[in-house]
Amino acid sequence: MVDFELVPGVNVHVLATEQFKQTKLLLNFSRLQTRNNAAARNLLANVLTTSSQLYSTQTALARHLAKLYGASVGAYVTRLGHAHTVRFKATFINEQFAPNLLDAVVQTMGELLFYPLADGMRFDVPTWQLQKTNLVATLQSWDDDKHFYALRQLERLYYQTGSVMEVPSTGTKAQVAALTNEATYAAYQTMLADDQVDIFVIGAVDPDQVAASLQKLPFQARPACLPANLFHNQPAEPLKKLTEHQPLQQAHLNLAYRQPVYFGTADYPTALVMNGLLGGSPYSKLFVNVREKASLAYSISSSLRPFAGHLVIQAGIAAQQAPAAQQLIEAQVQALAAGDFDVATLAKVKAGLLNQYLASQDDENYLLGRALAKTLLQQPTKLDYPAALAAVTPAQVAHLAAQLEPAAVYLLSGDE
Amino acid sequence: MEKRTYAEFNQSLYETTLANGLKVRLIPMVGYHKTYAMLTTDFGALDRTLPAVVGGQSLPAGLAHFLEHKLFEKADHDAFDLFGELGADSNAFTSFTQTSYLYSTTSNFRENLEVLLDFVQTPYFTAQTVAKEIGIISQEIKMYNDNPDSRLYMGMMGNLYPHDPLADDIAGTEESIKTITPELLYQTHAAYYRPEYLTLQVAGNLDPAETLAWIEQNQAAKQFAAPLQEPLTFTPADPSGHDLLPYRHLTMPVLRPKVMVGLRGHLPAGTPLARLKSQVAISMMLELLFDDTGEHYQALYDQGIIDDSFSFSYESNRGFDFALFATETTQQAAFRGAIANLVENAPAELARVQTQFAMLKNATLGRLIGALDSPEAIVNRFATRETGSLTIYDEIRVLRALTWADIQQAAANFMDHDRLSVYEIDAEN
Repeated sequence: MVDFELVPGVNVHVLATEQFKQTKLLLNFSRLQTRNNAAARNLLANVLTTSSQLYSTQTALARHLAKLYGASVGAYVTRLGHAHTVRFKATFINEQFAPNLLDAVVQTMGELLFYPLADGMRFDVPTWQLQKTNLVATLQSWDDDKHFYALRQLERLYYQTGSVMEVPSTGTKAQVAALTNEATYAAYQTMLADDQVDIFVIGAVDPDQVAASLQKLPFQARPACLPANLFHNQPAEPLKKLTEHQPLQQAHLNLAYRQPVYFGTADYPTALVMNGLLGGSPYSKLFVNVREKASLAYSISSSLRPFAGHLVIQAGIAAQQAPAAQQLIEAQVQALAAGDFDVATLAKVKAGLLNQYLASQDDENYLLGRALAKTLLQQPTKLDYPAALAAVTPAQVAHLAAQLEPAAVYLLSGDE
Repeated sequence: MEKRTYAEFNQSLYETTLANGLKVRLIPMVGYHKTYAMLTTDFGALDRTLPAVVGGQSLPAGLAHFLEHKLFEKADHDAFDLFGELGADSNAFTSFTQTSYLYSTTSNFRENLEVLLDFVQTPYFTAQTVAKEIGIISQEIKMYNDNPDSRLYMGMMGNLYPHDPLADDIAGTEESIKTITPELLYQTHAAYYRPEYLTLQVAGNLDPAETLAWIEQNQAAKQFAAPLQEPLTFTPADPSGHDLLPYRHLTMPVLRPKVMVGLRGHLPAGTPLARLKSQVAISMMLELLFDDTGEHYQALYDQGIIDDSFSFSYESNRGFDFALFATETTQQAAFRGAIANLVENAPAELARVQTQFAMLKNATLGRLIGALDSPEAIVNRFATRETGSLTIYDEIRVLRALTWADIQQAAANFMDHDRLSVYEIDAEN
């Protein structure tokens, strides 16, 4: 990877490779999330990719991108620990198939970011209003996906009342609905002037050419605004429980456990193996014992929240079996802590993780995501992941599982 | 083994059919770490009778999907575990016209290949394991019943093909799967998992000659009965399409109402290449009229009739083809009116966007070239015997050769106002 500074606070990272036929560009804006800034930044992601001064309608922008051999441009918000990120992403085919696309796509991105349809105080009113209406509607329709809804309710329950993390990276429906045009524009000015910016390019590109294209963008210097430690760590609280009833055929049982290991640290491979044994693979205790043997869940899995210090378990169950399912799930966690797993299963989980890691090198999106996480977390050291994975012992896994601490239980039930 | 070379993409492709009837396609990809292999039978959820020569018995809805689930489990092991021990990710899926078994690996490629061929070609079913699976799949069916997108899609399929297996959920119903027995699974496997129905494709990190030798050795050790020579076909109950249901709706506890408009095509016929050409032309014609570069998208968007959830697609497969247009909206009537209007006035509307054609063709071409980065995309797009020797490279060639006359012809053939149907999901008050 070739790294260079465009201006202070705006850094470029180029991963030149001949493996792929398309190139990807990612402009990432980061700053600390607050209880109030997520909604405006989410709306910004939508407004800025709708139109600009030069491409003043959606149709004009869509036709321009079509001319660039179907280049795609999009933006979304997400967070990495406490860092709230707005990510502008473009995908386009390589120079060998269509010349000068890199420069044209960078230029397009520049138009969208620096020259929006706005008057210096607020965005074009109809554009802003419609994007706001649509964003509220989108957030509302997410609640129709019950699997996802239950997960978000669990996360809200898990995070400390009144904490920044309690507010999702998208902002809430109410927060988006309450935004004013002026507040959205102010958030835009802050993002453009003060956010830490990291730009990534992966594909068959020449770093000098990337630099030449990006230097045309009028980025201003800015001081660093992210702390060295972005990981979320909250004090232990008594177990929180919530049951909600909706007219559904199936129920969703979700559990959160506090878990002490964070992304990229020395113990991270142990946490990945532990999660694989618990519910992160088809050989896991949850899948085999709760789904396959006891038939208490039709879907079940666990996943790490490696920037936020916990682990979640999601189970799709029949409502009347909730107590039995929860009991058996908890027994699996305890069994793992007691070292009750065989070396053959451990080997399968490790082999699966190694395969995922090696195969991810064939995926540009994955490579971009990993490079971004390492950059924001300031983790320049190159961990020998295959060796670290191989070195994980059963005792380490059991020791970590013993530290899993029940923190929240959320049940979305169809039973009244 | 036939070798085809695509110099422009620095890519070679190898294809052969073994003596036992198994079709093999190998696509070595330079610089890739992983190898992706998929074994597909043309037998899918649409196929609901056994061949006439073995009695022609009818099969319950959901049997193909059920068979897929049960094929992994053997007397003393599970194929999932074998893949896991060998470091591979494995999976399977069932559609209306195929059932596919696949793995992706960066190690033990040959051993995993043997596992794939052996577990798919060696059935094992018992009354006990079938009974347990009925419980699990019943839960899965209930899960889909809570999902409004799934209800919208299946509702539309029931509108477009009310008297055909296309109207039945791929997983079947809680009632239909109760009639599945080990005997029926064995009979179905014997009929439709024979080599002449199977295609094995491998893409990524591989050596073609070596890989073919391994496959041949594996197949030589197995015995298969003489070919049935009875290709899988499908003809709708009412080929005229007059049985189509124009409108149905469902009330569900959703927060946002949804609407889908379907357009049932005429029977796609002819050679695989002719059908591919028709498919590419119809897809492009729909893009010209309905995507965000067109003349109407912006107005519908600005009026709130569609939003970013709007999508449209065209599917053409063995014996059926249809287009779907869907959005979340509170203005359902305005949406279906707008789609119907564009279908009815397609020739005139197309004339208005003729200047966009070359540009949109290049955009589609760009996205298709982008798909070449994915072994999964290359393999999955042309997986069945029914598509003949066609690959994604043929799709690129056909797209490049597409003319404005082809677009006009596609509109004349496909855009039939009388074949429209609407399905709505309304919110409870």
